[in-house]
Amino acid sequence: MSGTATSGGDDGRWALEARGLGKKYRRGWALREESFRVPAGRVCGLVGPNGAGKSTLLGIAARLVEPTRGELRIFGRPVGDPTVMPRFAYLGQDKPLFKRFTVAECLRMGQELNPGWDQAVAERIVREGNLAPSARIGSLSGGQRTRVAFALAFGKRPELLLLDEPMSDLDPLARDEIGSLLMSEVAERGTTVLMSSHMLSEVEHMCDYLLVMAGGRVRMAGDTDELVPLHTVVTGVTTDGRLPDALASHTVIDVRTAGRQFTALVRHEAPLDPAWQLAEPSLEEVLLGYLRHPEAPALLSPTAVPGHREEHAA
Amino acid sequence: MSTVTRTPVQQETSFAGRRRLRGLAWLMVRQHRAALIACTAATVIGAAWIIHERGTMLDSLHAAGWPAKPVDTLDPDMVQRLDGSFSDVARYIGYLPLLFGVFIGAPLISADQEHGTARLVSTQSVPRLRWLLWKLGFALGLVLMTTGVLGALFGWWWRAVRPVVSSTWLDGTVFDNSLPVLTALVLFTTTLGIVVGALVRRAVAAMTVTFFVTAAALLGADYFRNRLATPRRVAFPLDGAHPAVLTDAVQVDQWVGTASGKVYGWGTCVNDAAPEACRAKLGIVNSVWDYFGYDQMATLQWTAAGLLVGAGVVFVAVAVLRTRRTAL
Repeated sequence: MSGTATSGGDDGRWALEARGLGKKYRRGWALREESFRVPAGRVCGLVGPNGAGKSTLLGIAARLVEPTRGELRIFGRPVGDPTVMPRFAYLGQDKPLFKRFTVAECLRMGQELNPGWDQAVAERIVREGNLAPSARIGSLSGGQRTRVAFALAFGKRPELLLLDEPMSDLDPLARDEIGSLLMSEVAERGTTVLMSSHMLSEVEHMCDYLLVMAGGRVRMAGDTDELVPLHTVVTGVTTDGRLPDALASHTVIDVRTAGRQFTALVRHEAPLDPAWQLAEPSLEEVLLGYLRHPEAPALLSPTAVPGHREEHAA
Repeated sequence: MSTVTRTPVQQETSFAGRRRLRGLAWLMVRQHRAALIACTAATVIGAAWIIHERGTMLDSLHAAGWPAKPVDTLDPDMVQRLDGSFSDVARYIGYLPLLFGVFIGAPLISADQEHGTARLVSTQSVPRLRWLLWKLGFALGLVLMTTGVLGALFGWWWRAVRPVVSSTWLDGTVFDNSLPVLTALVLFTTTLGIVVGALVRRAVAAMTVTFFVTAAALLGADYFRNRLATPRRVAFPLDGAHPAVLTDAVQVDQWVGTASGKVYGWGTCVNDAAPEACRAKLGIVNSVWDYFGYDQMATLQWTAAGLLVGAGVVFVAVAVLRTRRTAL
């Protein structure tokens, strides 16, 4: 143990730091030697189509998957180091629990297997859902089971919470309830969250940091507040059915034409032609643009690039 | 959400349990409670049954005048009945290797992988390897407890009534069901189940595969029992009495031979028109036996146990290497 847990130290600033991180399965690369980082204390949305490598990345961070190449550090420590284990909690898509255990036994498991266990927090989360301690996990609904899984995760008092589509199988009511539970616990403790989700509205609502992936590569990473203003939705008139040449000086992410009119999402490098109608896109529009066009040049804000700050200047 | 309403006081009491076991030990006992109860019950009931049957058998035999009277002078019906009860118990013990392989070995790791609980446990603060070693240790502990007690008691029974029962010491009935072979055999099948589970990663599929592979392995083991050591050979006159070395020995093969040591198949000259003349022509004067002496029993059993445990070690190593690095 090298006193790296102290705040302010270089190690503690980055919850996750990947350098050349790659994972190859038999069917091909799920993650292609990517480098990025996520600052501590942020709620980071992990967005991308199915097969983008999101679960692989979360799996590597949770020590479930061994990387083929490169390394991943959690709060400055290599993920293979067992001392990182108490510092993160992981919640998979299917939120596995022992079906024959009672709710109380599930929490007991957390208590037995985690040195920093906070029984009071876990019990409170379970009680807020009106779950009887003696109820069998197998008899609970999906939302109730998710609540128990969250109780286990928060009882661990993690500094980093890794969530793999935590709410994908919940009904709207449970989704809302679990969502506010998550946000209140995170706000209370300043937990860093890395959360993959297909729900862009959920991401927009909860996350202040983004990691967009496609085809095993990071397409966009950084502060939402920094990333969104770099983009503009441009609406204008096509010239001879083609996009105006003036648009080519900017990075066009996504473009759609309807009749003579075009609407383009651009990353502006210079002031845009005032003849066009300009609007600031919503986060959802930016995300959709990048998801539709994974071939668009990657955009990493300086905070998201490990080591060198100015390469992908914003 | 839940319709169950309880007072906080009740909840307080039901969350706080006494913590007699800690850490992974608690998880093992809780998760594998059914297996633990089944093995304990099998051990206790089996032990009581063996002790009872042994007592009953010896009482009957002593009442009939044994061991003062030789076995062949006893009431054959009674001897057959006692032998039957011995074989019954042996048959039940003989199911243990298959039961342990299929119901304890095969689902040990595969069920956790299938239901995702391997992911749940290995994302707590316990390294995966430690959890894995606890799982293996727990399963092997169950094997040692159950087979240790039952095998020892069964051997104790057999040694007391050896002359009465019809099974020889090399028969699976005795050889496989007494120590150390019983423990080694069950260790073998359990670890076989574990490695199949680690490779297949589906509990029911692993159990099915383990059932057939174990059944085949047990049949194979039956065949190899005679090859664990080199049989001794003894020659004695065709019409003469068995030499003393053959007391309690188990015959492996039988020949007829000449005075110079040349052997012929056991059936040589038997169907000849004039067997005597035929033998005289070939010079056959001796009956030749290949046999294992009773004093070889320990050697054979420990050799068998060594081979089975060796295979078990390989299985465990494969299962650990496979599960330790695989993506969960």
